[in-house]
Amino acid sequence: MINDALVFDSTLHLADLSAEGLENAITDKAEMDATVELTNRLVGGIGNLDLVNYRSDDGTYTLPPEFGGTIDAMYSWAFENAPMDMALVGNAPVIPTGAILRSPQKYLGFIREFRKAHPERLLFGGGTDPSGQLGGTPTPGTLKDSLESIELQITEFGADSIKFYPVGWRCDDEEFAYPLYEKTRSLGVKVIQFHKNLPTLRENVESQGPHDLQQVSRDFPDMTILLHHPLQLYFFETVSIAQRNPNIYLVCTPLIQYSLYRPRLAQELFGHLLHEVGSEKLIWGSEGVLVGNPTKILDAFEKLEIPQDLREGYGFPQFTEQDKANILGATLATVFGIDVEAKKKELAGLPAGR
Amino acid sequence: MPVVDKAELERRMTVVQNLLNWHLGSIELASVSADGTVKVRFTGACAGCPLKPVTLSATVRRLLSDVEGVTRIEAIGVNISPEAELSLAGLGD
Repeated sequence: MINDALVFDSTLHLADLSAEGLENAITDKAEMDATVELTNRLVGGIGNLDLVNYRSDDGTYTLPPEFGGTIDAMYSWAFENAPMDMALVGNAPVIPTGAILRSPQKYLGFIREFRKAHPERLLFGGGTDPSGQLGGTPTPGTLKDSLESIELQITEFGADSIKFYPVGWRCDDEEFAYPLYEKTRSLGVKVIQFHKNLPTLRENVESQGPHDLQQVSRDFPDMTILLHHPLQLYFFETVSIAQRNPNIYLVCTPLIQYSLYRPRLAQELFGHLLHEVGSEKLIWGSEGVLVGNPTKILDAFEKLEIPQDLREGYGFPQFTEQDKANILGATLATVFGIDVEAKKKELAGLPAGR
Repeated sequence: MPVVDKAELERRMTVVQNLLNWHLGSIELASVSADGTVKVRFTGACAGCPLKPVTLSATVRRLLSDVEGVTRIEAIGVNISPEAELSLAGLGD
């Protein structure tokens, strides 16, 4: 909680970073031990497993009983060592053919166990890359794979949302893309997310524009669209699209991180967003865990103001307490139908460590 | 001045690479100078990511800076002011 505002992280890429969790990526014991030691520095406590004890003769690993300790470490990272109250955890492409994560099933299992331990604080944001281009997987994913993955993530792992990574396909392609949204909706999930404005690899920059979400917004008015990364690239197009389409919200990463080390840019971009979109459509995200604990970034955002010259010169409004509260959590809570005041009371009543 | 322990540096680099791979990114060693300055280069999804300075501070430096002989870690293409560097120092501690 920050100034009595619920802090709800929209982009917590939380996973089992122990060597066990990375089992298919790491086969050498020395490398595994180093990973355990070093990930421990990043997230604290996560690397306390001597995984060699859990290695079978065939080279595979079984889930150690200390798995729960990993969950505890992630809980501490997010909710004890940072002023966060809730998180939408996940948001990585998870496809059966494996692209970003070598072991999607293990990743999903970790998320499921983590949610089971802390159901009051966690939602699961699933994801898929129907092009299979992300990560250069040797076996490209297909639309069929993605549809199956969406079904798996929602029905077996309780995904509350699905994020799409459009590389090489248009979001408004009725034949290729619409079945993805229809499948998601048919399974009762109505929040879809899109990675935009931030090219991932060497795809054409124009493929990352937000333009193709306009038709999606009109054709799926009962769904909520979270558009990620309102940055310099296509910034004003993104602003215009969010302004005019009631079901489009903006996830402001890494803009929130700019509060810490590019404050003037954060002031200018947030100024435009407050002025033209409104904080009731703005959402923050930590992008943790690899970019570190978000406490310093949240501190910087808490102090961020729109300076006088921008207020005078651009007509930007000053941040209000409600603006900050919306960005920190109220907007995302509303998207998922969570009553902010009731949730704050619920969390305040939990025993320590919950 | 102690010589950089290159074997340990490379071992650590492998781990950082594994972690960054998780986000479709990676890092490679560009050079190690006699004064202990290590230069790295972000690749993959990290190459165009605006959060490179944050990753450099919160992840890369945190995991590589105590290798024997390393005095400084720089990333090619991460061009930020000393003021921004100062703001990012200790991120993730």
